[in-house]
Amino acid sequence: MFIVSLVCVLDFDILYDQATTGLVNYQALKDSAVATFVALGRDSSTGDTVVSFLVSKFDTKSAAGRHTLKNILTEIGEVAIEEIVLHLDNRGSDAEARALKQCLWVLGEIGGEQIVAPVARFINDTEWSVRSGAFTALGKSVSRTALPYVCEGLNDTVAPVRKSAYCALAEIATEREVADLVEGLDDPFYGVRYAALSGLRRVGCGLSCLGHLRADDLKDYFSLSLITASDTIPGFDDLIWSSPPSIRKAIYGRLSKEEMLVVLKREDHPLLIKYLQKRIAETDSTEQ
Amino acid sequence: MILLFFLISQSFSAHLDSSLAFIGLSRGDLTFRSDYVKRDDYRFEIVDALLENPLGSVPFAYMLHDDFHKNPLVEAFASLADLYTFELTKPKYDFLAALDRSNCLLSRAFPADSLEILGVLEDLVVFSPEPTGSIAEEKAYEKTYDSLTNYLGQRARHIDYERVILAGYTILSALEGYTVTGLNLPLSKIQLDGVSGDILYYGVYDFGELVVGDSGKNVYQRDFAVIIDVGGNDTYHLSEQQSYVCVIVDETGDDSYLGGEYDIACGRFGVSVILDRNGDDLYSARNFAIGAGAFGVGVLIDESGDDRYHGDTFTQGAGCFGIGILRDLSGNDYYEGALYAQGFGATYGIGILEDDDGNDRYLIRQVYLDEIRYLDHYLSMSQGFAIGFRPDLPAGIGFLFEGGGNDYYIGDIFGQGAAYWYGIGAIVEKGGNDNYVGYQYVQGSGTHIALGLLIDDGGDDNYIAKGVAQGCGHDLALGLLYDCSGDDTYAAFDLSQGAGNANGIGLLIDENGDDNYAVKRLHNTQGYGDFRREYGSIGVLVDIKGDDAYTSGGDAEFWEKGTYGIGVDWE
Repeated sequence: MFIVSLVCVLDFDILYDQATTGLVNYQALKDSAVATFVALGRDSSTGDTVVSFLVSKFDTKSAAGRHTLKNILTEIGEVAIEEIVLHLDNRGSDAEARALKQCLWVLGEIGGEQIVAPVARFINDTEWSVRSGAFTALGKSVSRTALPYVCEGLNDTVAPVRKSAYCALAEIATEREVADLVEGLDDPFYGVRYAALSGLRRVGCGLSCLGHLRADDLKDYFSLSLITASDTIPGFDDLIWSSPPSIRKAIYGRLSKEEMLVVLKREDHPLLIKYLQKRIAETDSTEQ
Repeated sequence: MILLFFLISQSFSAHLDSSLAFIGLSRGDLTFRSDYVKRDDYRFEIVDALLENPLGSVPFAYMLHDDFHKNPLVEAFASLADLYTFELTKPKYDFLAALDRSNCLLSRAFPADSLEILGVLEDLVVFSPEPTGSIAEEKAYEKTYDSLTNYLGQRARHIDYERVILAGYTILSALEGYTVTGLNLPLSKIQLDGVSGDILYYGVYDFGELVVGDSGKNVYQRDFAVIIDVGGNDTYHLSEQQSYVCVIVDETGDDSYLGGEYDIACGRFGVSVILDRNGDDLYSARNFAIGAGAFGVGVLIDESGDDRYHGDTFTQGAGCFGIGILRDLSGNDYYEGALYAQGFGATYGIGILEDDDGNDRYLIRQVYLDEIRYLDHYLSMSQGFAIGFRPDLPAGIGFLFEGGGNDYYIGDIFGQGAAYWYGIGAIVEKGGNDNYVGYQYVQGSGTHIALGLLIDDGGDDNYIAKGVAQGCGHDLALGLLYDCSGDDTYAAFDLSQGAGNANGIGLLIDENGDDNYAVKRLHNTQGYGDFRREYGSIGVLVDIKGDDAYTSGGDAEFWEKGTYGIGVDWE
């Protein structure tokens, strides 16, 4: 009852102006307005009205405004999804498709199974930034039902789109998607390589999952970053000493103290010697 | 651009490559896209090219510096015209014919109602020192800002910029070989209303009035299209440019140029050039002055003497929809402004401040509160800085070229080799023991899809800032601080010294010397990248040689911070 009466007296536009003010002098008022929107948005009697109002602002040209909207709606949570989905077909007032991208961003931040189907409609959009937003949101759904859609983005010609697809895959992959993730380890875009590495680590894939190592510095760096204690690598010694310092560093980052002590005896690169010494000392202090 | 890529020093390239390899990256990873937002007509092609190859910014900055430092100004000016993709053929007019030709070009360059957009630009650029009184006032301004930028973007395209720049080029070309005797004017002492002291000639031409002052002291109380003064300590009381061309050539003497707005070499719907060859001179005005181009070309050349330059907003090498150049070839000079000054470029504009020699001081006064961030810090947006009117209009190109001497740079928020929104801002310092003092978004700082560089070739330098500084890229932007030699001190509080933030790229590269790197917050400085948009930012600190000290890390070792940041002290 109190909330309903509050809505009757509140001017949403004024509250929105307060929530999105950029003036540092009014920070307390801003925080209060944001909290009010969140409370009203969560309330069953006012939620639809409030969310609908906030979504109507999605086309704003203000980046700070879009961040505030995202923060408020993420706090409101799942109850906002239905209203946001209703607005997915409104791309916005100009070619930038700000309203649509904002919808995808917020849906991703809220996450959950129910966003997958509506978001998946945009994985083949003509705008790469829309596709990227869609894949990011699908990943944040953390739902296996998103998998077939996510896989469609792994070979996109636009690097940030591939990155979003790989990040999504990293979130939802199982051992069945290891091959896809391995493909990402030598992508030209580092965002893809690191996403693939993250996915492989999450799945629990050690070096043994990768098969043979190639003579490719970039891929080897990421492959060898997957070494686990259970990995046994044929010709490991030769591999280390035939590798450039960057690859050796990737390997050293995964070795046990005993293994580090062994390689330290032979290592002649001054930076890597210090690196090993530091890591050994860190291991010692952890053990103590 | 491929050529530019290979013009970086071998040592820079090799050590950067090896440092990046430690975190699984290569130089090819140092790239942005140019199409995060739709391209518009006002974005310089070079900005797009450098976003895709950010390291190319270093040789680009050196090349432009060399164009100014090693060549006659007219050739450097042609390089700027290239950035607009205008191909200029050197005209062969004598001085008076060049003025007529430029006048003719300019008379056909502007639509009849152009003055209106000047007011719009002024509303966008000239701030009140009074803080915003309320949120309602702030929001009302946001709506006004949106409509003003849209209006400006639509109307400014009706100007024929190629004609404007060709007119500027024509006058600068004619000034190259100019001598007063070469004009063959019938000189004899006369008196003229509006000028105290003797003058030697007065005539009226298609381009306007021309007056020649004698070698004694003259006071020019009103404007002329062309003033040639052969000597004496003169005073020029200048006002808003009215004729299409405006030229002052002063041969000797300690002179005072006094103005207000749109004067003292301000190209305002026209071309305005001042050439002062000798003497310790004073240039004092407020806004849009002292080598400023607003829908025009403004060039101030001071060839010698210890000079003082005083202005407020849009001054001392500032360009928006045009070119503004301040070129000072020698002397210990003092530059003072408040906002958008000292090598500043806004939309479709290039602003260059070139000072080739002397111990110089660059001060940005604290006038316009940065009320979005602080209650006690002020916007500078100067000293090799570029900004656009986000999101609708991109930034321009703002460069400060310093030749030598021990120089001081003092600013607050935004500047000292920084840029915001699809532009490039840089300082190229060729030598001397220099001091850089700023607070935030300074000293090689790029913000929101832009390129900010501070390059210092030599000397024992001090860099002092709070944060988002000293090689920091924020939000898909490059921030680069490149110091080639000398025993340097870098002091910052946070997010600095090779810091990538929100998928930006931050690089601090120091090639030689015994350096000291001091910070307060260890976790996000000295080779740090943060995680946004589901991937990391690149932050790299590389020190190639010397006995160096760090708050974190140590001499001759490497360390990693965040995702994907690395600091490497090679020896």
